Amino acid sequence: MNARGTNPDDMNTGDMNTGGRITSTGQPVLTVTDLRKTFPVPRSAGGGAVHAVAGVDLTIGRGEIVGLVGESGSGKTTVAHCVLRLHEPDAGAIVVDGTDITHLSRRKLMPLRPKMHMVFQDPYSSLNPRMKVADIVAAPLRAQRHVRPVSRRKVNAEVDQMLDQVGLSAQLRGRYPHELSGGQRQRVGLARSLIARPLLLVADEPTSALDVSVQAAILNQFADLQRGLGFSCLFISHNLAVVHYLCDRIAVMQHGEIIETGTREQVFQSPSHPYTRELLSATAVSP
Amino acid sequence: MNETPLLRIEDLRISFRTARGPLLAVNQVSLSLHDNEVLAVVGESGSGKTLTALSVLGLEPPGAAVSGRIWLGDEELRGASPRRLRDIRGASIAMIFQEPMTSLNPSLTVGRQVAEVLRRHQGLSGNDAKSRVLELFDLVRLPDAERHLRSYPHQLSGGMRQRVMIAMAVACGPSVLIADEPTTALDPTIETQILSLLRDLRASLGMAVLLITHNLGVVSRMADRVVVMYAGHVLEQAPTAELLASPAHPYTIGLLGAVPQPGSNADTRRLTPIAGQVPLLREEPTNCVFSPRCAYAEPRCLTAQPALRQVTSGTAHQAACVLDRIPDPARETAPRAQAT
Amino acid sequence: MTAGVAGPGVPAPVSARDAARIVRAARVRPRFSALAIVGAAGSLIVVLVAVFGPLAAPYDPNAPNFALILAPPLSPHHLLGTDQLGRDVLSRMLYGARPTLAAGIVSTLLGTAIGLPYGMIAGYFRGPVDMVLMRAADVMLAFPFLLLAVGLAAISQPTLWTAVLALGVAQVPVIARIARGATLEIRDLEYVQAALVNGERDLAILGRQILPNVLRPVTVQTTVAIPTSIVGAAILSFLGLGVQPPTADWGGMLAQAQQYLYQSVWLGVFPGIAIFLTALCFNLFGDGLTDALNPRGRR
Repeated sequence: MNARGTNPDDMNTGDMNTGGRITSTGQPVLTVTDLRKTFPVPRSAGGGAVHAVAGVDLTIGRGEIVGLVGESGSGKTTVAHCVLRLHEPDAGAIVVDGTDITHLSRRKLMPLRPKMHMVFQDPYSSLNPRMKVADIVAAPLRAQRHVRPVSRRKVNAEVDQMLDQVGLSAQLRGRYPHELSGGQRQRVGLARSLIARPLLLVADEPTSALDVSVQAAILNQFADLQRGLGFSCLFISHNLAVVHYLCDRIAVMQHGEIIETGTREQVFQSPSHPYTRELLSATAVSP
Repeated sequence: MNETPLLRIEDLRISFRTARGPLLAVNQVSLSLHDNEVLAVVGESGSGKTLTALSVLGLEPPGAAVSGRIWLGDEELRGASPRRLRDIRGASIAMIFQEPMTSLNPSLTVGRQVAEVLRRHQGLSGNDAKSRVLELFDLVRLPDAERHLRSYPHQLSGGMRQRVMIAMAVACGPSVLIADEPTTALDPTIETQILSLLRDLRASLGMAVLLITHNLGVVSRMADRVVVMYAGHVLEQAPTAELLASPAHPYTIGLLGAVPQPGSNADTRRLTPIAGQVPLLREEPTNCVFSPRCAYAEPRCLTAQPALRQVTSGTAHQAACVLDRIPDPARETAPRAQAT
Repeated sequence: MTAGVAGPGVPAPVSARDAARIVRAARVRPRFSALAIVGAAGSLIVVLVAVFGPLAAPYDPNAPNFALILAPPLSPHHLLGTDQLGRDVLSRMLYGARPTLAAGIVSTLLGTAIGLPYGMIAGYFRGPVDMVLMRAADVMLAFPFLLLAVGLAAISQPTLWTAVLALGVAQVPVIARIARGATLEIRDLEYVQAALVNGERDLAILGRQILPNVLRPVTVQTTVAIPTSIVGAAILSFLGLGVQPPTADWGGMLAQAQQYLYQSVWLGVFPGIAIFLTALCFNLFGDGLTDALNPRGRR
């Protein structure tokens, strides 16, 4: 049993609560095949290229939380950016809910955007300092208004409901980010990413920049939200303990490749790769 | 411990005058560091732990009103002349920081920066300095030492920069090393390496280490004793093993319960966050500073900030709490919801 | 017992991060310095003179009085004396503030109106767009505004507006550079990524996410550019490339005063000092604004 009270072995029977746009087919929400992404290094810094992602395969099923663990330079953030098409992959395929989005143009991607979103690491740069909380949270809905028009009243209602769901008082809707604490900002980020009820949420180290006690609150909130809304999640972190708490399956990345995958139990109790073992020993708190 | 402490801080109090009123950042903090021991000062942001460390070397920011006494051996540091303090810094007491990129001068080679410390305190120069720098680089296990003499900080990885910092710090054989979150900015595997380096250096050079951190994992791997700080006060202190096994103060209990620990609370459904936020003290507290967030608070917690007292007689375990025994932590239900 | 016992003396919760920030900020408190306040006051006075001056002018600035030419200051009825045509210097000074200031401010606004989107587009799209735009800006930078003004004067009659145009165009590459730099920084921040993930269109991102955050550094540059433009406008009229006589403006007055320096040095002193003080005040104000708006730690 993990923090969300689901047993990973029951994955396919799908103990899913209602809520969220769950399409009828049982296909995976995300399939990444042989993903590759290289960045050129400017000549002034030595030239050549960085193979940030060098052949990554990943699958995420409905309602699953998959942890992607690695240190800086492992390529995990690049994977996240590719999945969300913030970058275009050099090779490989990314299929979200049955649609191949690997090389889609910006315009074709637009109507698909509500299916996936992201929570960012830094509470201080993930919210526009010049926008009010309500506007930040409403942005994903407003961005879609040409394809999916919504009335202002409906948007406000959704915003308030979402703020409540992430544990924030509706009074905060008129505030600016600098008036909020780090934990509150992360909750706003969560609200923004979930308001359009995405199928897939990519969480890039959402608690690394927070104090320990606040981290716990956010993680709990996250688990509750996932239980309630049923979204799938790619949870990126360098902290194996946090990943253990939340995730059903875990993939470990190093140097652009996935060197180990398995269920939570498998990775923690019988890690096969030496790097995984190193990571495990580095994150233990043994009383 | 009966020996005279190497470093002793007594009744430290640091306050600031800010645009929004006074700020009491450190209050009545006393601690002592003994020869060869690793003392961890644990706290979240706003606990005052970094300020405490900085004040040892007289590095508190301008505008800080500091009172209290600090001794290195028999010598009082707070009244020392600026010249004496400069002699002490780097030679008897050294410090390393969290972000080596900002603590290293980006326009000087790292070899030059380490040599500078040697020049300042030991008068070394030229080839003597160079060979000593190489020795130090080997000591801190910096690979390819010869080449890195001429490297600039931006050409090194975070872990390597931290090693350079450590080399600079131990160059003159200090008796005390103050390490302010030395591995917070590093990846877990590098962190393991740096911590083990620090442990080895402590043993081989006979240094005492004052380790500032918020990471309980680092504490469990490194520290002999732990001091827990919150809102500028010391709330608990104890030998590490004892603190982690039987924490006495509700804050410490809360901290330990808030950290995910695979293998120990794997079957607990919940992490237990501490509701609320770390307060910003404006003046002398008239109640226990933790009481607003404490699940066990009673009316008598509102009368004054409790003094540190022995938890169990005969041990070095003290906590600043009026409660004698914390009731079973498992009974703590979700605290009144307050988004943090 | 519930968590969080309320009671007297319980401090208001402030996030711990804010605590750390307040401690840091307590170290260096940026103040709007005394000089900057002087600058602000001076700039305001000049602006008021430009707007309301003509109402207070005792005489028609262009009305000659051949009976009383080159009167020294403190003459009866002519506080600042008269010029070579007997026109009241004080009135000419009051009227002359307008073209000088207008040229300085309007040209800067023009430069900003063009330079801001220019730089933002270059910084946002990067790649070939950026390269082309910035090389073009480099070319513009290479042209001194004087040359531009001369060129414009050759095409058509020199007027206040040709001067404004020349000065404005000269500002464009400077503002564009700053806008581009700020855009490059902001573009990689996570909230812009979030907007991309939202599916927002480029125009919306530029307008909503980037522009409000670029305005700050650009505004600072603008206040610093105004004194430069004011002096530039004065230079142009001095050279006859701006406002044409008999219209009063400080640069033109300075030009004409050259011939009469021996008879009446004051004819040059007043407009000269006025230009100098105006530029100085705007400069001080701009510096003060820079300091006040850019404290340590960008938040």
